[in-house]
Amino acid sequence: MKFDCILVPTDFSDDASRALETAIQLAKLQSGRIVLLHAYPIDLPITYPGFSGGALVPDEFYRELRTQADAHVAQAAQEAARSGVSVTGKAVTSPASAAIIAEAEHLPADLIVMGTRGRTGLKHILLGSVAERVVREAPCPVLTVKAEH
Amino acid sequence: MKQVLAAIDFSEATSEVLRCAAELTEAFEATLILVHVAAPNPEFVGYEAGPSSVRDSRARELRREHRMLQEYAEDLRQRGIPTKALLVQGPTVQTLLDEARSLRADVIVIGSRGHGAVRRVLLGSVSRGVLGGALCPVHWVPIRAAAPLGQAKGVA
Repeated sequence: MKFDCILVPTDFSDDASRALETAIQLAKLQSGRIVLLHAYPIDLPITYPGFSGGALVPDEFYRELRTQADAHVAQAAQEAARSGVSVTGKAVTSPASAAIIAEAEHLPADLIVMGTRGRTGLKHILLGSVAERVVREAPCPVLTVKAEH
Repeated sequence: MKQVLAAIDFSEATSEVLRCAAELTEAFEATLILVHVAAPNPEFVGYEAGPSSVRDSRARELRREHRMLQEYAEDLRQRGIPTKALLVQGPTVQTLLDEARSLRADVIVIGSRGHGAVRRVLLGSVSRGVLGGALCPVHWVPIRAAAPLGQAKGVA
């Protein structure tokens, strides 16, 4: 079993940190590399060009979001790389599960390590809905981890 | 990582789960525990075929599953992988999670498709139950089911 390329989706939650720690241990063992992926869907009401509402969300806002997400994931990757493992960060704007599966196919990843619960903390309603979809549709094995509570 | 627990259900997922679990066990120089959760004995077996014949057939099935599990374990031991086999009866998710806890499993290896006879309903509930309930990490092995794609989609 060789995990040369490990994909770790992150939303900077506790479970995601735990997943990253686990991935680092695995990568160290097999001198693999980690790709840290942050997917941030933009949940704004849809606006149409031509309607006055469209002007409410200027391009500036999207650029600002992107800059922040890029900086955030780059910083997390840098911190993780202190472990001695090669970690690269990437931020994309699309719904999390689709982005994770697409990235796993694109790399291609040998393993996805992810938390079962993200930041959307409505435990019983949203429990692992992203993890669930990824487990179901991923092209490679998925290791799901949970932060100790 | 010391103990790898492989969830075995004798479905089309089993060979892939065994292969993956064996590789993980070897990589971590751990011990492999094969766990099969058999359905609980029916409390009411009805009058039609005669309760004793239903019980007999259930017992035969359990013996067969037990033998298959032991064969898998023996096969792995022959390959130098320390392996134990365990057949337990009870509700699938809870029994599996209880075993994982009491055996102090470091990881559960399980197929992400093919659990349960009634795909559309049970497959999802087992996966979801393990995903939400496991305290240790879970290694999901993708199972390229023989079922048509359309059927496999949206069921786990």
